[in-house]
Order: sequence, then C-alpha cells, then structure tokens
Amino acid sequence: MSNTVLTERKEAALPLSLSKVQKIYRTGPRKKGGVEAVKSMDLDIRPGELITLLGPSGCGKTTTLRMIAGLETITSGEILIGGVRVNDLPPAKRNVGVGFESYALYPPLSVRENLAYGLKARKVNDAMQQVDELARRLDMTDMLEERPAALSSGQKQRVSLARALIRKPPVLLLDEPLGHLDAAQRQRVRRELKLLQREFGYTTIVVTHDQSEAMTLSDRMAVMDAGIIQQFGTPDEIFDDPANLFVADFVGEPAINLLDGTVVRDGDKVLVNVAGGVLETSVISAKDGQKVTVGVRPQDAFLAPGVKGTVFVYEDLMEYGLVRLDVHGTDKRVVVQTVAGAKLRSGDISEFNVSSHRVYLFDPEDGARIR
Amino acid sequence: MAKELMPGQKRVTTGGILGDLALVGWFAFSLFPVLWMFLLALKTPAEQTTTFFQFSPTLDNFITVLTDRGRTLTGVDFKSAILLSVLNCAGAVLVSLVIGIPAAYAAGRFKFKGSDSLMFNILSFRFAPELMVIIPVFVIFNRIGLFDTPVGMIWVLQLVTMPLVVWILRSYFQDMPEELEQAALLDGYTRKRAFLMVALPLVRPGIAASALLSFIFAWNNYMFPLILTNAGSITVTITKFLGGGGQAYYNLTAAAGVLGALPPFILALTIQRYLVQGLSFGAVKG
Ligand SMILES: Nc1ncnc2c1ncn2[C@@H]1O[C@H](COP(=O)(O)OP(=O)(O)OP(=O)(O)O)[C@@H](O)[C@H]1O
Ligand SMILES: [Mg+2]
Repeated sequence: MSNTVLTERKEAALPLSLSKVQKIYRTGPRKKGGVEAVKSMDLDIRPGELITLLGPSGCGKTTTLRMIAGLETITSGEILIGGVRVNDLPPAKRNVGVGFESYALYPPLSVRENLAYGLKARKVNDAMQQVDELARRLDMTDMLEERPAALSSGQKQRVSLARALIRKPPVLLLDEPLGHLDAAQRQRVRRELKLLQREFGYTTIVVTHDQSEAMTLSDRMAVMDAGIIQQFGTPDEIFDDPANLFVADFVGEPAINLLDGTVVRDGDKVLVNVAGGVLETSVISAKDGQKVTVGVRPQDAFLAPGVKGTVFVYEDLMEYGLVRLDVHGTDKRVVVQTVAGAKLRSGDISEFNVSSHRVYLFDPEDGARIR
Repeated sequence: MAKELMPGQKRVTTGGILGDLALVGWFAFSLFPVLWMFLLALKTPAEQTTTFFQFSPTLDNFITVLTDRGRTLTGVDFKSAILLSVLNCAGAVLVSLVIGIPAAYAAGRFKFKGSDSLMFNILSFRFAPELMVIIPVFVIFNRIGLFDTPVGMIWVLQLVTMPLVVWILRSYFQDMPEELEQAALLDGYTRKRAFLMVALPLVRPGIAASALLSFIFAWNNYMFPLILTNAGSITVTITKFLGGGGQAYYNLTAAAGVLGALPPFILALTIQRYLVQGLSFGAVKG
C-alpha cells in the first residue's frame, strides 16, 4: 500500500498521534538559534474524538496545527494519522481539513464557489447539493452569492468553518473557529459543529482561547504553555485535578486563589498555615515545615471559620454571589463563591474555609503539584 | 452650519487656492517641453527654428517621417526602427515576465540562506550604469555573433526589465496571505496548480503594472541599442534626424518623437483596465 492517508477511509474516523514533536523556526528575526515554538509534544487522539488546544497567545497552538496539516516542516518527532507516518507527505495527501485563523477565503469567488472549490479538486459530483445542505445547517444560505469582501468577520469565520467541514475530512483542524462570532451565533455554531463532528466522525482539534468553550466542546482538552502540553485530560480532570500551577491558574473562572502557606503535620492530619489561619488538606506527601503555594478555587471555598479577611466587595450575580476578601496579614485578595443574596457589606470581617480534598498545594519554585 | 464634507475633503481657503494655483503653474512648466515638441512637429522647415506660437500647422512632417520621403531626404528608416523596437521591447518584457513571475513568487514565499542578498543583486543591475558594462558586452557580442541581432538586444534589455518585474511582483506576492494557497493545497491541488490558479490571478494588476513599466524602460533605453546594433532602435533613430543627411531636421525629430511616444501610450491605455482593477481589489485580507 502506498504511503497515503487514503480517501476511501473517509467514513471511518482515524486516530491522530504526535510523539515528541518539536518545531524550531529558524527564519525568525530573533537570534541564530531560532524560535522553539513547540518543544516536545506528545498527544494521542482517539478516532472521532474532539479535543481542544487551550493556551495563551504565542504558545504554539497554530504551529502545532500547521505541522499536522503539512504546512510547516517538523523539526523532530513523528506525526501519525491513522497509523501512517505523515511527516514527509504533502498536505494534499494527508487528507486533513483546516479552518484558518485568517479565514483564507478566495476574494474573487463567491461564498458558494469558495465552498465548492475544495470539492472540485476531488471531483465530487453533487458538489452544489452538498454546499446547499451545509449552508442550511450553518445558517448561511443567504450569503452564498456574496463575495468574501462583503461579509463581516463573523460571517467570514462561518464560511471558513464550512470550507473546512465540507470535504468531510477524517481529521479536522480548526484554529479559533468561533472567535469572531457573537454570543448567540457562537452557541448555535458550536452546537452544530459538535453535531456535525459526531455525525461524520472527524477526529478534531479545535484551538481556542476561550476556556468555557473548551470545557463545553471537548471530549478532552490539552492545556498548552510555552510550546509544551501542560496537561491533557477531560475537562473535569483538568478542572478538578490540575497537573501544575499553570493549569490550575489558567483554567477556571474566576481564577483560582493562590496564597503562600507553610505545611504543619499534626499526627495524621496535614495542615497548612495561611496568613494566621489554618486549612486542613488531604495532601499526604507534604513535609512538615515545607513552604508551598496554596490553591483554592472560588467554587470550592465557603464562608466558615478558617482564614480571616475583610470584605472588600460583594457582587450578587443572581445565580450566585462573589465575595472578595482582603486576607488579613497579607496583601492578597481571595474570591469566594457564595449562594445568591448573601448579606455581606464592604468592611465586614469574615472567614473562609475549604474541604480538605479541595486544597491544592504547589511547589512555589517550579509550580509542580504536591499530591 | 457649514456644509457637510466627504471624509478627507477640505474646506476652500485662500491658502488652499494659492496652493492649487502653484500646482497648476508647476504642471504647465513641466509639460511645456512636451507642448513645444508637439508644436515643433507641426511646423514647416522654414519655421522650425522660430519661437512663434502662431504658424500654419501641417502634418507633412509625420508623413515624411513615416514614408520613403523621409528616407530619401535624411537616410533614416523610421518605420522599421519603430517595428524593431516594438519587437525587441515586447520580447524583453515577455522574457522578464516568463522568468520573473516565478522568480518573484519564490522570492516572496520562500526564505533561504542568501535570499536577501540575491534580491539585492538583482536590483543592483538597475543601479549599475549601463556605460560600466557596455564595452565588455560589446566585445563579447562581437565575438559570439550577437551584435546587431534581436536575440542580443532582447538579452540586454531584459537586464533592464527583469529587476523591475521581480521587485514589483515580489511585494504583491508577499502581501497576499499564504493561507490562500495553503487552503488550495489542503484541498488537493498541487503546488503548481495552486500557484497558477490561486496566486497568479490575484497578482494580475501587479503583472500589468510591471509589464507596462518595464516596456517603458526598455523603450526608452538608448545606450544599448546605440552601441550594440547598427539597426538602432526608436531612441537612436530619432536622434538621426538631427544630422543624418548633413542637415538638422528639428521638425522631423519632433514628429518622430511624438510618434515614438505612441506605443507605450497605447499599451498603457490597453492595460489600464487591469491597473485599475488592482485598486478595487484591495480586500484580499480578512
Ligand atoms: N513563521 C514563523 N517564523 C518565526 N517564528 C514564528 C513563526 N510562526 C510563529 N512563530 C513563533 O512561534 C511561536 C508560536 O506561534 P503560534 O502562532 O503557534 O502561537 P499561537 O499559540 O497560535 O498564538 P495565538 O493564540 O496568538 O494565535 C510564537 O512565539 C511566534 O512568534
Ligand atoms: Mg494562533
């Protein structure tokens, strides 16, 4: 069999795996060594799975997608699609669909022609029918005859998404596909994307900045920083069991509260001293006297004797409330989520606590999780 | 309330009017030699050295220049010179487009070791004066039999036009988002087809502009045809009216000058459509 990711397998979803993939850009303006955009990336995506790549700007998300698509050479490591090593295959032979961050719509062609363009290259017979069908599902029938220049950026984004979807590629890579949509559109397109993805079984990677989107859309999500995957797991795992300080801090809204603390072992109990207060934790490997960074999610904290603070402000968000407490003895301010309608005023003295298994400890030096 | 203005439109002020008048003055000043040439082309030999604006205009000079009358009178064959120049310049432009377009694409898309100095090298053909290379080229052409041949002429003229084509088109290719071709590659088009079907149509205005400019540059070149041919070219031939038959025919020179300016002018008019298309086409990016 020739070394091609075959088209006839398009009905069956394909697994996608990256092992020790590295990318160094050598042409950049920066000094000789080049820019190491992706450091050592391992990722095993199951057939038909939808994963999101979440990470701050410049962490290498787009670079990763471009390497998988074959638009960028791989400095070292291997990429396998359906078990076939694709490192040396040209983009056309990888059978990957890409939705570009910059839309990449062809200006002289109408939206309809733009969508049909990809089908034509593969000599599909009922191209126009497929275009109409997909346009209906993505609610864009009325813009089919427009030129890209006449569309808003949100509309262009939907066309760009449709362009990636229409070939029904076994592997689909979407670079921030919903970034420019308004809230209502985003809901609708997100739902439709998920349905189409299930229906046609594309193995999908979605790049996003938006963590709530990542949480709702993905089967598993990969949190990236500085060219490295910090953690790869289900949204629940990422949220409840962060691998390190970066993941804990990056995922979660409002962000996790971080305080300096000292571990005290008292019999079989493990306690942390935080700003004069004491929290109990179930982290068994913590050593007596160890300096740690303590993480408490606003959703896990509750108002009860533990660590003292002065109420800075209380916000009632109808479904729940948020208290911001200036912790006594530090310059830190923590956020605690409460039930809606709590009777709190700025200046009140209050205390928060958290159940022992929801106290995260991190090494203050390298941010590693202490379990 | 003051009248509502278009964005960028200015209100009429004294300073503004004075500025406009100054511009008109400059315009008249810089076009005056052209006007002079037109008038001279319409004068009889008796009037050719007068500076009067009032005279009885005649088209005789144009007829003389274009017919055998001119040849017997001055020994200059203007018609075949114009034909030769058209052929040579079109040939040079064609060669520069065929080689220059792919070169510009490569230069705009791929960065490799020495790519910048290569581009600079190409440009440096433009600022080396022709006089610097003309003697060696003359010797070489004589040796290998390219002296006074169209091939030889096209060869040297494309040295003038190629850098223009490459530099102008490179910036067009650079301005075009790479993702457009990459999307085509992913759809299953080959690199060559993506270039031909996606990239090339989008730079059509650039091709038109660079073709026109290089034609004009080749057309106006004087040194190469003067030294490297006997047959000459439009530029060389025009000057022959100034003393070819022992007498200076200023009026014939002017008529030849007017006729000689026509081909680039006609070319500009024909491809204007594509040049303007470039303006209304700007929305390539998101
Ligand atoms: N063609 C290139 N040449 C040199 N360096 C590059 C190139 N493309 C990207 N980089 C660098 O690689 C790093 C990762 O870029 P990348 O585009 O993958 O980030 P990203 O995660 O997609 O960011 P964003 O969320 O802003 O889109 C950045 O530091 C960037 O400057
Ligand atoms: Mg990106």
